[in-house]
Amino acid sequence: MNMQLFHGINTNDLMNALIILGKGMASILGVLILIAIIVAILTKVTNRKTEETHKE
Amino acid sequence: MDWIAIVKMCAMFAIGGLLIYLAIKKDMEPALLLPMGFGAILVNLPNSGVLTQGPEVTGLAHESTGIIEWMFHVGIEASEALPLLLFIGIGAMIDFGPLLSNPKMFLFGGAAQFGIFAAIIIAVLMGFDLKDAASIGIIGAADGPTSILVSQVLKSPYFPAITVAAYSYMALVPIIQPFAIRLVTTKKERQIRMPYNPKSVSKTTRILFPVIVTIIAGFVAPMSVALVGFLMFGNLLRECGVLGRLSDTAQNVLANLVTLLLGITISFSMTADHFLRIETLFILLLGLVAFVFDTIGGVLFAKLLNLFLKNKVNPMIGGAGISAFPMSARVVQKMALKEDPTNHLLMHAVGANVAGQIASVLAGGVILGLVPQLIK
Repeated sequence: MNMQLFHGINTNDLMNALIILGKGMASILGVLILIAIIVAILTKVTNRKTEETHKE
Repeated sequence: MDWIAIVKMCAMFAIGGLLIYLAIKKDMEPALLLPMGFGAILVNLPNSGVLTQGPEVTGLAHESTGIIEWMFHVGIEASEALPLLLFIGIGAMIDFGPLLSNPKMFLFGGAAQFGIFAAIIIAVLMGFDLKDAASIGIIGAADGPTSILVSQVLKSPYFPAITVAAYSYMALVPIIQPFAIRLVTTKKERQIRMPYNPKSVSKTTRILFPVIVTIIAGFVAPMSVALVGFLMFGNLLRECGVLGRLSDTAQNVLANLVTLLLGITISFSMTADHFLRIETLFILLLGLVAFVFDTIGGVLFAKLLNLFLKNKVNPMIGGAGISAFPMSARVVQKMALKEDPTNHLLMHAVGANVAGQIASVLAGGVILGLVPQLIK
């Protein structure tokens, strides 16, 4: 490690870090949103089935 | 031994002693910091028998294998077995119920991983190469085993400092988070009430959840499969309802045994040559930055959502989206009660907090997938 902050920035690594920020946050949020939607649907379907069973 | 080596050895003894003190007197992650502190003393003793020593030290014709060095090579370096096995125990401990009954909370788990990426950028600006910067940034996952695994897979030489920072800051969540939350919220925002009307969660949903998460995470971030898969395997043991004994074993015996071995095994890399560097101080500082930005990221995301929501979210809930469970949820509940003694946010905060546990292992997998591609 050398103190790039004081001797100039490694632009290649910085660009890569920004790509990681963009792709990383997008992937994490994307996966979580997808899981949240599936969980919401699953909860709705299974709760409806439970209600129907109770009614019967 | 020259005097420099003696000074270094004494410094490492002092660091080991400090970790033991923090574990016992300050109750800071004692299950990890105490074995690490004692291990730091063991590995820094001259010609220590816990490290592999050559014939010139042993006086024998062959080298003598040291137990801590062997455990490190087998349990961490070769397969990351110890942190992964710990995930089975953690998964078996987590009740995802509050999250499943309010899936909106998943978003806060994602947003509160921002600190990881902010710390990576700052580490790069400070001159760390991308591989090391990513290993340092993952301290912001607020998840010890993930930090160990990522820094080890990326072969970062700063592995011991990263581990110490990850566990130390997790213990400091009750100090770091209130400061960061107050920095970006007003008193009025901290007083926002959130009624809690949980939907009932069926057993089928609870059982299918770990399977679904593993499959989706596996397709999007294949490198996260080991992390997410073991976490979710532990959770499946808990929720399936037919493996009570295995679930109990995973939550108690397995988690305790692995934690015990993990702490002392990590100390292998806490030799003076590895640990006494100026970079260790930078890493401790960057770890703090990561935790602060995690919290700020989660809170600001909640404030952004509030622009579009009819029923406003208390932005502090966003700050609970980190993996430090249950400390972070408790911090938010405590802060909410301080602002308004009748405002109970605990269950919302717990939902965001367990979402943070999934998001942090996902983040680890995403980083392990992206970094090798970019440094090719």
